[in-house]
Amino acid sequence: MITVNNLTHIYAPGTPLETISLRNINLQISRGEFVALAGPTGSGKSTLAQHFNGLLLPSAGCVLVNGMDTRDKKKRRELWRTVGLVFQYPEQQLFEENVFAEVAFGPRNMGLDRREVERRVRRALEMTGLEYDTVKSMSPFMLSGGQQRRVALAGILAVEPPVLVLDEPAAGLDPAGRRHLLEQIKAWQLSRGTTVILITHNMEDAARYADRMVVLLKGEKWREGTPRQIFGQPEGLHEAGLDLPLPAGVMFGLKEKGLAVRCDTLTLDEAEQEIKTVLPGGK
Amino acid sequence: MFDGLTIGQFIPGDSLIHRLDPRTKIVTTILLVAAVMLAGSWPAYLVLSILLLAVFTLAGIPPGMLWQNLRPFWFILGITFLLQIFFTPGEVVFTAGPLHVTRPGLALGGQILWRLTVLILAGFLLTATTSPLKLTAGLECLLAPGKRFGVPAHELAMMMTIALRFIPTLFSEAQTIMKAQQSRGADFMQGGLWGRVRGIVPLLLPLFAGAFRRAEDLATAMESRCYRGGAGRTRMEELSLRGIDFGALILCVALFSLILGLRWRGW
Ligand SMILES: Nc1ncnc2c1ncn2[C@@H]1O[C@H](COP(=O)(O)OP(=O)(O)OP(=O)(O)O)[C@@H](O)[C@H]1O
Ligand SMILES: [Mg+2]
Repeated sequence: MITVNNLTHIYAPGTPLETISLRNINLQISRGEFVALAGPTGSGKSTLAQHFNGLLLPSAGCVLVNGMDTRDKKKRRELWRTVGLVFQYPEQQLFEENVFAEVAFGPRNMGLDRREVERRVRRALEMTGLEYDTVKSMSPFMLSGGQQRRVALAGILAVEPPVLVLDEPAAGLDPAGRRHLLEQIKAWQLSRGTTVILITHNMEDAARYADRMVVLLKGEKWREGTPRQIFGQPEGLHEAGLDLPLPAGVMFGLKEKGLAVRCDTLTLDEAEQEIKTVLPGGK
Repeated sequence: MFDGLTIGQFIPGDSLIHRLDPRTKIVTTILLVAAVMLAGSWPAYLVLSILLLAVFTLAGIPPGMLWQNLRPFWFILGITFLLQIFFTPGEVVFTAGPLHVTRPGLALGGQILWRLTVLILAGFLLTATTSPLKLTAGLECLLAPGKRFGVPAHELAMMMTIALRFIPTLFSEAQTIMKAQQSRGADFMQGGLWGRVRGIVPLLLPLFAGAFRRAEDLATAMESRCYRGGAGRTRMEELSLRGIDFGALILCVALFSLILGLRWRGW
């Protein structure tokens, strides 16, 4: 679905402010996969995300989406329909006078007819946990920050893109809202075979929802693998600025205390099982 | 569109020019601007252009950046140039349809083009080599004598610092919003005039909303730290004039006199 070949990106090349934000990244993402993109602040996650739909173009190397090279100008429109990108703090991009028009902006730009637009807006809003009939005629600026975030997200979902790239969609939401949002995204991925790329600082989220993780460090791909593989070898993770999810962290602590337990537990249930195996009597 | 660099951006460095006192740089820039306005002959153009380029070189700013900073202005520059060459009466050099290019038109157009270019670059030089903090400290200091006549020197300087501080922020925000709307299929470049005007709404509205929000936050932040204007405030770094400052000032005054002298003689 998405192939990244030797991607290097340089901001402001040839000036004293030149920053190499990505260096020689190679990546394969297949259809329907849920990939978590992690890494400390400034590691290049957002920069990489903007390469997936051609908002940023490679300084070297290339990015192929469905076989389309993102540098190909003629494929621009097709590209934004294929890859929906939700930016960090998307609520800052709201501009329409009511929520309906805001969410309908994308579908209308696709040239869909009125009924289809309405259907998609309703679906997208309900998916993000907003009541269609309550919010549709409210001004987006009257909503709370968390609600605005949902509206902005719905604006992309309504395009129903085969690839969804989310840049920290849950940052700043309350725990319940965060859980709900990610559950919905996961459900969307499973039910429609959407490819999801989720940028997150939260290792619990990565462990819970992702099929595969890619960890960036200082603009380079540092590690790649299933959450189990990544958290199963916690050495160096801390230096890379990442935490272990709680279940894996607990097990790692026990192991360091000399207990023979596995560390690649991702959920509390798993951790409980594993602890039982080493407890005398097995319970 | 404006990748990486923005107008009025400070480019950190440790060159001779960076180390000059901000007051020196402001005064010499004003002298340069005056000289550019006065200059009316090839020798004067040449001297001033060379001076400007020499200072850019001294400041360690790569030539490519001069071009980058001029780029946003090309439209205005182009229009003024064309207006001059077509609509100045005089001896016709060549004719394009109903329009006549005249010799005095070419001379005048060239002169205006040169003046505007130098002015833009001079402003760029000042902001590129002086941190906003120093720039306003210098400005406040230069305006201070006006306080007696009711000039709010500190407030003016503070307003300028804030404006300068937020230009790059606004630019990068505009860039982000533009990208976000593009990924929802917004098209900023297509459609007729009306289409383009309407196309700009998804960009401008969030930009203004953001600017107001930011302004409010900033005001709250300043008030909650008890900011109440200039009286009795001290500075972290006191300004001081040194040898190089006097050198630069003398050089510029001399140059200004030279241009004035040339002008006097009808050059
Ligand atoms: N518009 C820009 N111009 C110049 N440099 C930039 C720009 N955007 C990002 N950078 C630089 O590129 C590097 C990577 O930034 P990026 O925003 O991709 O990081 P990130 O991993 O998304 O961080 P965060 O977790 O804070 O969102 C940083 O060093 C940053 O300073
Ligand atoms: Mg980011």
